[in-house]
Amino acid sequence: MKCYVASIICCALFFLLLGTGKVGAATYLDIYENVPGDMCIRILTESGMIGCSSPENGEVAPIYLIDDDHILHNFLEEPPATSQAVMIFPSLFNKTTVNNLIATKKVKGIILLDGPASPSGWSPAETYPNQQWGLHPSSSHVWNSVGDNLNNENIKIPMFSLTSAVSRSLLSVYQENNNNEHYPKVAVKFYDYMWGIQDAATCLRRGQCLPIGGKSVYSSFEPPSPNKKIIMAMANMDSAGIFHGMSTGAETTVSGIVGLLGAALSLFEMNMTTFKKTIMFNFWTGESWGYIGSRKFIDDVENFKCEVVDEETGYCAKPVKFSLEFQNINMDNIETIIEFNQIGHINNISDRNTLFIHQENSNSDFLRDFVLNVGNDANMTTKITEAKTSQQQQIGLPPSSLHSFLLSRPNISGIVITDHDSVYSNLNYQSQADIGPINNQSVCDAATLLARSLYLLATEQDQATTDVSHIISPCDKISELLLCLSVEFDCPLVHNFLGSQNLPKRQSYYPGVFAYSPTQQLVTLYSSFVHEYIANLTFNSSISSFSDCSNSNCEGKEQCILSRCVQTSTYFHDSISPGIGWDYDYGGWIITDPSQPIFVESNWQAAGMEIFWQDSPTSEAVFLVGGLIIFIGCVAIAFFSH
Amino acid sequence: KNPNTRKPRMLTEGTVMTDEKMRGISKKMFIGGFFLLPWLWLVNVLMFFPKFKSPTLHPDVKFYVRYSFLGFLIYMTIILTWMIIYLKKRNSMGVIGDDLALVIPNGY
Repeated sequence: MKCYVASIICCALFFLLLGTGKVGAATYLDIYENVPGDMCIRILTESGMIGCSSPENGEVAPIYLIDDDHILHNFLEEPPATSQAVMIFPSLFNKTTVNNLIATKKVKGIILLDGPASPSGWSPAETYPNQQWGLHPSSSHVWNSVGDNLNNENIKIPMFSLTSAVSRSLLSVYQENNNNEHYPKVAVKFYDYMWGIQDAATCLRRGQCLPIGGKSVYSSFEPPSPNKKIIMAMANMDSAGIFHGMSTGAETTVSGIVGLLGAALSLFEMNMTTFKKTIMFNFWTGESWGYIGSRKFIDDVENFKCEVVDEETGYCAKPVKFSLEFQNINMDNIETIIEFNQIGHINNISDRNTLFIHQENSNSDFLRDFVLNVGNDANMTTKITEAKTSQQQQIGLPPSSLHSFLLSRPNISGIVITDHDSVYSNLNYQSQADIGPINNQSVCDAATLLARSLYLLATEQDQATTDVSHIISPCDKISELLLCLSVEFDCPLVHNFLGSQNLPKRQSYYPGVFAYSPTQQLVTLYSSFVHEYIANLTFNSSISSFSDCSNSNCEGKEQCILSRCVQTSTYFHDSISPGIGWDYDYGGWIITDPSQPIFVESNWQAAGMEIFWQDSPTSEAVFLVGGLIIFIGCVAIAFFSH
Repeated sequence: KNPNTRKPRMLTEGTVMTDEKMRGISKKMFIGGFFLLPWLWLVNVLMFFPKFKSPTLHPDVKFYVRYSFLGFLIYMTIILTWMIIYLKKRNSMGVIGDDLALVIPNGY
């Protein structure tokens, strides 16, 4: 009797030790290998959920490669007997394929490998991005011709996307082991269990998700004053897509950001005293999610009232607002808006690239002609012309932040400059294939055009008689910016401004969440970089002192940029849906206005992918049954031997 | 074997349950069940149904047992219906759905 008890205790201790502590961890590492990848996460909207999630305990399936149309067709016609984790190349990846694979009920998850995109292009966005939040919510015009709206689909399985190195190694593992009918096979475990469910209101109430947003940047050569008219140059700083870690947005986003920065570079060393109007550069984040960046700015400028002011620091304590300079801006002072939206397309067909000017109504005729003349006089490589669909009934402007401003003040004179006419030239809008290369010449010419137009408009000089040939964009600096922001974020230029911290190789322009709470607000790396870079261009020439920015003690309103304390009118502004606010009594985010765009990101705990060896179901059954027989046999022997 | 050890007996075996006692217990259980204690009704049924074959059983016990069983069925129907409705519609019930729950699990 004692022997049995002792042996049982010994066995129990052994297995306990195996499962825990160092022995357990080592065993875990021997079995599982982590596969780094970007995942598709769940976003909740006013009416439901979009995006992906795995079940709570993850999802396990052997990997199965579908690398051409033929194999895909066979898989859909006759799915295999056991469920698989499908690996697929970007050329086959789109909403139809994903839905068909899910419909076979034999696909437990999808892994998107690295590879060339479909030559005819693909976009996960809608055919008219942000349509319901713009000026023409019921228009039937198609801007994004290759868009199939996978972004807004509620996908019931987990999806992960791999970078090129990881993709290659997983493929080679597959070729060695799974490409036949024999077990053991390599299986993958997906786990990205999303906590949010139902819709945004439910999820926010339960504290299981956070509002999407970030920090927009705005900068002017002098502080905005209530007396001077404002000319705004703007661009969107964010992108979206099905895999938020891969929203590289080279043509979608980076081209516009660099176009504005290039114009600021040209105007940097001008004598500002002759400027009769204020030039302001605006970089909006969150625009992919219903223009929340520009909407929030307009909402604050028009409606913000501070209830409780913090005496020591001067910022608003309720509602929390760390920067109050926008209160010097009056919506009626905004006279002119020039926006860049996708200006870096490489046009393989014709030899001369073209930029198009779009306008909404005849208010902007003067501005359009003004800019056209500046462009034609400039003798640029890039041609500049008016878009054909401009001013056409129910078409008007392409999706852009200018929609938000015209909704508030229809009389603003505004134009949007893009590289497309009535349909996007960008066939990879918000796709992980939007990685460039970007047309340097086009962006450089656009920057020159913008700089000259801004200068003439701000100094109120006549375009025909004034010589502005001295205003030229530094194309070498623009090229460097384009490379850093789209291909290699871990570059010396960015390190110069952001310090020696670890930087990702490719920057993703998904805005992320706005904040955990009003006192724990977040700012993305790209927002920080744009803030630092443009502050370095628009500061007042008087520099008060030199210091190291890590322990800077800049006085008052000064900011520390590149080891100098400077007076600069560069500020962050909150980008969060005007319909989501913080309830100070209850202590959580709530929807204050459901008619505004509502997008919140679900929380999750751990997420990732692991691979391990999986044996055949038959073999596993044999082990189980054999074990049971041994167990019953031992018990029987013990029982009958008494 | 030691003649002093005896097999343990059921409680009801040691004490003799007279018909009067049975009537009393069954009546108490029947009344008790109305205080939202449906399982008391079930216990009433399970305990005294085997006694039906005894000829000296008080007729009241049969009355109590039968109506306890009916009460149990009605109550269980109501409870199960409410459970199914709540579990299915909890998420779409908004604030009320969350307030009724003690613990709200993540992702459900």
